[in-house]
This record gives sequence, structure tokens and C-alpha cells, in this order.
Amino acid sequence: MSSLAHQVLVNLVHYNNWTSVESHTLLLELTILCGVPPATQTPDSLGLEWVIPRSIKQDPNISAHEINGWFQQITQLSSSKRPTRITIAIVNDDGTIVYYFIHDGVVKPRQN
Amino acid sequence: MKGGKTSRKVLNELYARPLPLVLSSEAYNVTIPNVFPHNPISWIYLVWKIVQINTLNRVPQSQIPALTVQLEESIFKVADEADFITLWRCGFFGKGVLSRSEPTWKERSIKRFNTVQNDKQFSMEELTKKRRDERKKFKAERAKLQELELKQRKEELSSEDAASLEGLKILLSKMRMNPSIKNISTDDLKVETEESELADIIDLEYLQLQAIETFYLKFALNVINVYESHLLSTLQLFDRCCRLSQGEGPNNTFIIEYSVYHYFRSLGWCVRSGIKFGCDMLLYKRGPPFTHAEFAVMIIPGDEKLCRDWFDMAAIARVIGTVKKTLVLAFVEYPNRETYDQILLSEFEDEKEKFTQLLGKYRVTEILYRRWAPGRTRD
Repeated sequence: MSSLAHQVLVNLVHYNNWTSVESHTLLLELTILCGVPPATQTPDSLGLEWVIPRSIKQDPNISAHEINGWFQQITQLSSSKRPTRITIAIVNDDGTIVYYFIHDGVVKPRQN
Repeated sequence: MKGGKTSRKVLNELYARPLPLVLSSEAYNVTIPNVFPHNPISWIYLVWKIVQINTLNRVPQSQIPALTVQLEESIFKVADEADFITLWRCGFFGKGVLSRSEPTWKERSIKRFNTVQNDKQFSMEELTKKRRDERKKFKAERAKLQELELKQRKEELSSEDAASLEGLKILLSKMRMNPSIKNISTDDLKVETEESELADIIDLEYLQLQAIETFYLKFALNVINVYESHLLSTLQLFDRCCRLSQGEGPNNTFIIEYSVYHYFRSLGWCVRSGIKFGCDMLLYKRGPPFTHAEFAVMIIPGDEKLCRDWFDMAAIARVIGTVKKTLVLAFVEYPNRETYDQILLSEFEDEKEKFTQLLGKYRVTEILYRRWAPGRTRD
């Protein structure tokens, strides 16, 4: 596993208290993590979240093509079920990790 | 933290040193005395003190062992607990990898897993957790209320429902008025765990330094030694830092960022990463425990091709505005490739001189960027 993915994994398990976190290393040095957060953010999600680690210093640009690639990779990993959303973990060089959802299409915003 | 806020006096004692440096005056209790122009003895005394400080009492910094930083897989790590406490307390360098900023993981885990009782101190992370739990409860109650209100509109409300509707309305307004965040107990944070597991977990945290922080501590303050299987020289460290960032030559992101970091640090600001607000840096007057950051810095290299467009600017400015900070645009002019190579390749007796020369070619200019609403900001 890459150092980047390991950083995110430790953060998920020990800082955000996720459970059953697993890593899948794919081609082109891409590691995808999946795990279960302590509480589901939206009622419709099954609890399992997919996380893509990314370094902001070494890799600051993302293309839509790349994002679509992640969705396809995860579809294969999770036995042909395309996820409704993925989470991108942006890692800064001070160890701060910020998480953002990327939805597969338009989603009704939840009440704050 | 007592009752939510630590008193200013405690903070002042804890964070007395703005940088991890020891001054002669502090170590030997010598200070430059007052001079009374009409009194020759005070002049002689002054000369004696200056001689004393400059020759007899050597700068104590050279006697303090340098802190150890390890470069492992592109991460600058400070593993020794005493070292990372020093770096955090004196200038707020680095970030605990399992904490929001100050490395509090160990304390938090001990509290979470077993129970040091009668402890009324709470870390920021614990307070946040508590506040989020409150919010979750509030949302659950609100969902119930909204369901009942929907029923009411459809006129399907039974008398029982009507009663609970009224009850919920009162409860929610109460929750809105006074959140019970003040009364937390350690029980709220506890988690059941085996003791053996605890021992493994407790030493997981280390302090992570940004590349710019590491270089500042090495080049500007000279208080750390950086190892990557062997001790790295300033030049080697510079080289590693550049390779961890985008771009090659004078407009490498690391050098651009470092020049801005060094600039604001020299002006006495406490500079921390601004990734959470989508900007490059945050400027604190003294440090995170004292006040919120007042300014957010966006770095713009002096290169027309790299300039951000107005949509980016507007987006960032709005985010920064909502968190009550002011956006500072820091423009960096950098030397051309020729000058850059010439300085890097030439020989200097002192390595430090090379970087003083090189960074001297970088110019930082700042501009305050603020959204102005004519109707609202009339003083």
C-alpha cells in the first residue's frame, strides 16, 4: 500500500473511528479504500463508503475522466454495483486530510 | 480546559515562547540596562553588559541539542514526544496526525479507553464530538416534528399527535436556546476496549511537519536535524522539498510557498496551513489556542499564465468571508532561470548564505481582497 493510502487508512480508523476498513490496490498505483463510518450520513446509503486518497501537493488536478474511472473501478470491485457516491480524501503535507463527496449525478441536498 | 475556556494567564505561561529559541537574556537572566545620558556610570554598566552578553554568555541555542525530524516516505515526522511538545508549544509547528492540530491523541485515548476520572479538561476534538451529538439529537426531534406537521396539514392529526406536536415544539425551542454543551462528563467519551489494545494504540501519534515548516526550522532557525537514513544538509533538504512539490526551477511550488511562509513568519505571524478553507495559509496573531486566524492567504506566483480567474477568486473570497477572515493575496515575483541556476550552482563558504542569496531574489507583495456590500458596511 502506498504511504498516502496508509495515511488515510490510519486517519479513518483512529481519528474518524471507521470500522472494517479495507484497501484495494489497483493498477497505476491507485489504492481505493472502503469502510464503514460510525454513523451513516444519509439514510439511503448502506453504510459502506468508498474512499480515494489523493495528495494535494503532488497531484493537485483532477479530471472528470479520472473520476469516472474511479466509479468504474469500484463497480468492478463491488461486484457490478455502481456506487451512488464516492469520497475523495485530500491529503495535505501537514497531515490534514479533508474529505469530500463526489456524487454520481444530481442529488437532492439534505436538510442542514 | 476548564469550563470550556482556559484562562489567558495559563495560556500565556504555556506558550511563552513564540519560537523554539532560547535567548541569552532568558537563560542567564541578563538584560540590557537602562541608560541615563547624564550618568556616566550607567554608560559603563551598559558597555559591560554588552560585553558580557556577547562574549561571556554564549548564545545558549548552540548548547541545546537539535530536535530530530525523520523524512520517511515523503512525510516529515517528529516521533519523540518531548520534541513535538516543544515544536507545538514554541511557535505552533506541525500537526498531530491523529489530532486536529495540537497532538492530543494520547490523552484522548487514555480518557476514551479507560477513564482517568475526575478530569475536567476537554480537548477541542472532544468538544466538537459532543456538539455534533447534540446536533444529531436535535435533528432527530425535528424530523419527528416535521412529520407531525405534515399530518396536520393533511388534517389527519389525532388528539394524541396534537399533544406530542406541542411538546416537540417546546422541546426544540429549548434545545435551540441553550445547548447543553457546558455539562459534559467523561462518560460520554468512553469506549470499551481491551487493555492490551490500548498499549498498542497509544503511541500511534507523531507530529507531522509541512515541507515549508521543516525548511524554516532548519534554514532560518537551525533548531532541527533532518534524517533520511543519514543526516541531510540544508541543500539536500531543499532538494527533497522541491521534489515533493510541483514545478521545476525558480517557480517550484515549494520555493514560492516557502518565500511567503518565511515572509509572514518574519513579520511575527503564526502561519498554518489553510487547506480546510481552500486557501494556502492562515495567519494567526499568536496561535490557534489564543484566537481564530484573522487572515487567509492565497498565493499567486507572478506569472500571468498561472493567474487564477475571477470565479476562483470570488469562490474563495466568499468562503473566507463566511468564516470571518480577510483574504490576503500574496503575489510572489521570482527570479529567472539563469539567476536561479547561477546562485544554486555557485560555491559558498556557508550553505546558509546560498539560500539567503537565492531567497533574497523572491519578492512578496500582499493585497487585501474584501467583498464590500455598500448597504451593510457603513460605519
